Parts: sequence; structure tokens; C-alpha cells
Amino acid sequence: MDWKQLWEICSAPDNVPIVLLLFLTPFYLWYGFREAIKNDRLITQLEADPALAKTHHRRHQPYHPAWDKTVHVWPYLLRIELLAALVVTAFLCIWAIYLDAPLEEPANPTLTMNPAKAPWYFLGLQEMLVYFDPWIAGVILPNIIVVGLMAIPYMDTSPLGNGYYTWKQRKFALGGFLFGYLVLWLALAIVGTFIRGPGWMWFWPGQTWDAHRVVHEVNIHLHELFGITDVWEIAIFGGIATLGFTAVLGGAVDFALRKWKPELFRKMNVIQYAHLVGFLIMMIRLPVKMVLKLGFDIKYVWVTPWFNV
Amino acid sequence: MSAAGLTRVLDRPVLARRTFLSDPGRTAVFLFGVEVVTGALLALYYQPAPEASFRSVQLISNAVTFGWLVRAVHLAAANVTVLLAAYLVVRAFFRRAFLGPRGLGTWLLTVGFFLLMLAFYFTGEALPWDQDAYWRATVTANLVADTPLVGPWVAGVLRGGADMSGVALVRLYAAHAILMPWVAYWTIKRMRELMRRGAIG
Repeated sequence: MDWKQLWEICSAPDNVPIVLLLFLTPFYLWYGFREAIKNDRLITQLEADPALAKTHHRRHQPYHPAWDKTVHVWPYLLRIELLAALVVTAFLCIWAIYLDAPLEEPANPTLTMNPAKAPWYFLGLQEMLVYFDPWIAGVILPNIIVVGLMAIPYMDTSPLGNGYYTWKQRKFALGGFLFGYLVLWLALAIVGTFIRGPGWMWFWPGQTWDAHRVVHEVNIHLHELFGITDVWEIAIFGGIATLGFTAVLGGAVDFALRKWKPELFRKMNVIQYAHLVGFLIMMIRLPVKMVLKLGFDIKYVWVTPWFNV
Repeated sequence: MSAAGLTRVLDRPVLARRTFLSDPGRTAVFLFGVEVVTGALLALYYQPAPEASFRSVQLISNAVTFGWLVRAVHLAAANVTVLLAAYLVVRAFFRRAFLGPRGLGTWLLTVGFFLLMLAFYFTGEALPWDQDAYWRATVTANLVADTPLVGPWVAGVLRGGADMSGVALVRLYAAHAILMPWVAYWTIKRMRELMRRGAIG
């Protein structure tokens, strides 16, 4: 184990946020689920007792009956805000003193950085470069993420769970979101930070980053397994494989939704439902492609003269 | 603000029993203020030109009184703001805050704020024009250039020519220090208007 290098990775000012996330994410997940389970218990109780449900709200009220519900801005709110500002400022100063802003050598177009890593929150996308064409990983995928996030209110219109934590009433929505957040963003960023070393090679944590290590990387494309050589045949074969897989996956997602979430299917109109299925397909395809590359060394499924998928 | 206006603001009712952890949005706005102040201080010395920019950042870090602290606070606050903006998105989703009459607008603004903070971080990191900055900008521009149809044109706008040039640095600086602060200001203002409407706090 190379503890020194592990410490250097963790303490680099660029990587501190991701190390913080390693602790903050489990804490807030624990907190959220604790509240959600409390609420779920209350919901079960209220559903069983309609008389009680008339007088009680589902949400936990943090108020004591004797307390005022509202107070004046001055001094109650301003006091808290002043205190918060002081605490945050002190925190920032301590952070800044212990982790000075980095400054490398001056820009030198003739000397390439190795490894040249993106900022911590883009490391997931940089990891995607291993599995996709650069413009797909760097332009198309981020746009899909942005549009997907913004489209959530248009697809998820159920009023349950508005303003309180619950797991029971939103298993599907929360599960999907957590999959995207934990697996597709955080886990990939962690891989990019701790695992990927010089040359974007795979080093287990504790393994020394050796820039001169030679990895015999085998990259085969799917059509090579079938011995297809003509450019057009390759393109057509890849198209059938990719679009066919997408269609099968879409059918499976559609079937699963109708079977386990019939109320969701009934409530949505065609456009909402098509988008939901589309985004789910995209989310499932990423890990599938990663398994193909990491497990079977298959780099591209669809090779054409213009783009590769 | 007149005395009567001030009194009205100070006497406005707000929800009791809340801690500052219960609305991280306010902390994010405060952090944005920290960024504006430290950024303005850094702008007193910074020069957006390929070699001069590195020297000016060196000057800030080594010679200017407390320059290193201002620069480090600027970066630390940026990191915390990105974390906080991500937390705001996750929290809004978990509490289904995107429902109701104000929900859609606040959700879009929350996601927009998160993206804006990423863009701030990304452009800001390029400004010292050191090895890291140069190669990140180059790799990003190359990535964009590979996109079919519009790619080469957009990459040309980003680079300021066929190769990465000093024009790219000026454009990044203009986006970071002139354009995006106004977008952020507008986002925060709009968010406050939406939050105020019919709500306490």
C-alpha cells in the first residue's frame, strides 16, 4: 500500500470537495432516510385511522403548540443570518489557510500534462471518454443530463411527497434519482479521482502511480468479433446492433413500468411517457457500455466513418 | 431606503424555529457575495493576457498583502458553492419542491444556478493560465471541435482562432467576470421574487 500517494491525492486542493462528498453524502442519505421512515410510519398510521387523518397533517411539525409560528425579521432572523455569515467566513478562512490555491508552471503548449484531469465534478464525464467518442461524452451527455434534470417536474407530477421526506410513496422516483446521482455522477467522479492515474490507466487505491507502466490495452469493436470487414457492412451491422439493443431495452423498460407501475403509466400522456422511457434508456445504457469495455474490452459497438458509439 | 421601508422589512414576519442549516439557499447567496468581493479584489491585479496573467497571479500569491488569502478564499468559496448548489438540487428533488404554482420556476432556477456555478468554476480555473488551465481549456475545445456540424465553428469561437490563443483567455475572463455575475444576480433576484410570492420567509 502506498499510503503517501493516497494522502497526496486526498489532500490536493482540487480533490478536497470529492473527499468531503465521501462523508457528506452518506450522512445526508442517512438523515433523509431516517426522516422518510418516520414519515412513512406516520402515513401508515393515518391511513389506518381516517378520523386522525382529518386533524393531522402527514408532515412532522417541528412546532410546539405554545411557540409562536412567526416572528419578526429583526432581531430573530438577522441574528441567525449574522451568526451564519460569521461561521461561514471563519470556515472559508480556515479552509483557505490550510489549502492554498494551487498554481502550476506557466502554460506551455509543447509540454502535455499527465494525467491532465478535469475539475472534480467533471471527472465523471472525463471517465466517459474511455467508453464514448469525445464529443458524445463531452457535449451530448452533459446536454442530456441538463435537459433530463430540467424535465423532471414535467414527468413527475404526483402530489405525494411534496415538502416532506418519504420513501414509501416515491420509491421509483427516488431510486432513479439516486442511481443517477450516486452511480453515474459520484461513483464515476471517485473513479476519476482515486483510480485513474497517469495515462488514464487503472490503478487500484494504494497502487503506486507509475507513469511508465505498460498496459497492453486490447480494444476490439463488436463487428470484429463477427469478422465483418466492409465499411458499409460494419456501419449497418453496428446500427442494427445499437438501435436493436435500444429498442429491446425500451420495450423492457416499458413492460416493467406497465407491470410494476401501472398507475404511472395511466397518469402520463404520450409525450411524458416517451421522455421518461427515453431518459431511463440513456441511464441504463451507460453502465452497459462500461461493462462491455471493462469486462469484455469491447470499445465501440457501432463504427461509422463519421462517429462511433 | 426610507425609514418606514426599513421598519417594514425588519418587522416582516418569518417562520419561527429555523436554523441557518434549514435554508442553504441563503448561505449560497452569502457565498456568492463573498465571491463578488474577493473577485473584485483579485481583479485589481489580474491581467487577462497569456503570459502576463500567470505573472499577475504569481504577484497576487507572493507579493500582494494577503493576496494569497483572498485568492484561496475565492477558490474555497467556489468549491463550497458548487457543493451547496448540488445539495440544493438534490434536496429540492427529495422534497418534491418542484410542484405547485411556484415549483416549476424555482426548480428550473435551482438547476440553472447549479450549472452556472459549474460554469463559473470552469472559467475561473482557466484564468491563471498555468499548465493545468491551458490543457483543460485545450482539451475542452478539442472535445467541442469533434462535434459534427456546429463543432468546429463553436470551437473557433472558444479558442479565438484555429489554435488556443490569448483571445480565448480574454473571452473566458469576460464570461467569468462580466457576463456570468449578471446572470447569477438575475437568477438570485428571480428566485427571491418567486419565494416571496404568497410565502412567508
